[in-house]
Amino acid sequence: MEFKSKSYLYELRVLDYFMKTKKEAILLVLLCTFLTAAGQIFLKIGSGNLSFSILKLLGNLPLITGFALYFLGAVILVIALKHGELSVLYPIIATSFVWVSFLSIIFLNEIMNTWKWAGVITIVLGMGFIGKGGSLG
Amino acid sequence: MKTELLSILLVFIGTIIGSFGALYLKIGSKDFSINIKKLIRNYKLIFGFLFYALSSVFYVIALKWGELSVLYPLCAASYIWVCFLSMKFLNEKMNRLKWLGIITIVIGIIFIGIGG
Repeated sequence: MEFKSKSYLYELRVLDYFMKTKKEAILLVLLCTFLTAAGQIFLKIGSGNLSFSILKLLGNLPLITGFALYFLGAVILVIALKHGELSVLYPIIATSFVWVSFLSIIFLNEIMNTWKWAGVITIVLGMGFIGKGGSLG
Repeated sequence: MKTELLSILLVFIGTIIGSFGALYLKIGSKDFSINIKKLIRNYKLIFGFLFYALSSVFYVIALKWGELSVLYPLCAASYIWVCFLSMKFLNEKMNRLKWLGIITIVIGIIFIGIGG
């Protein structure tokens, strides 16, 4: 996950330039989780019309939007990871699981139960541990 | 909508393929350069992206027959595979906190499975 030195495209240097402090890295990662979570909703909607014809795939706007949001989130994440501490950023990345849960209720009429919430919170905690462990070396 | 067992299986296969993608991206990132010619010849990097693309195919097919609130959290399994792969192929060290994280994520996934 750690891309050191020249490991990103020139166009992204603009974004890079504005990100001087950890606070900005945290905000960027938070933005990344929102994009990822929104992308998931679009992917789910798009998966309903999934077909193996290329033409239909290209016409599946929700699916394409979902992948585009996901990709954008990944690019932002790589930039943020370069600047921020893993132990701080990993638990924030994990909040995407919380956002997806809320968005699933609101936009997909899915029902969250106690077990699912317990699972989401436990996973966020687990990613926190891995992030903390990763920053130790 | 109930989540089919097949969907859960597809997501797990997807996370395994995706973690190989992460591994290849990491190896490929060593020779990363903005030079297009070098990028095209960076097979490891290309393999990484291909693995990622393949994993997303599995994931989207899985989504068709399952709830997002069940299937998305299962993606956290990829963090487990990535830890093992980095240990085996990148000689990265594990520590107590990483193990604790893996165990906690496994418990979380089991909770999600029960809830779904």
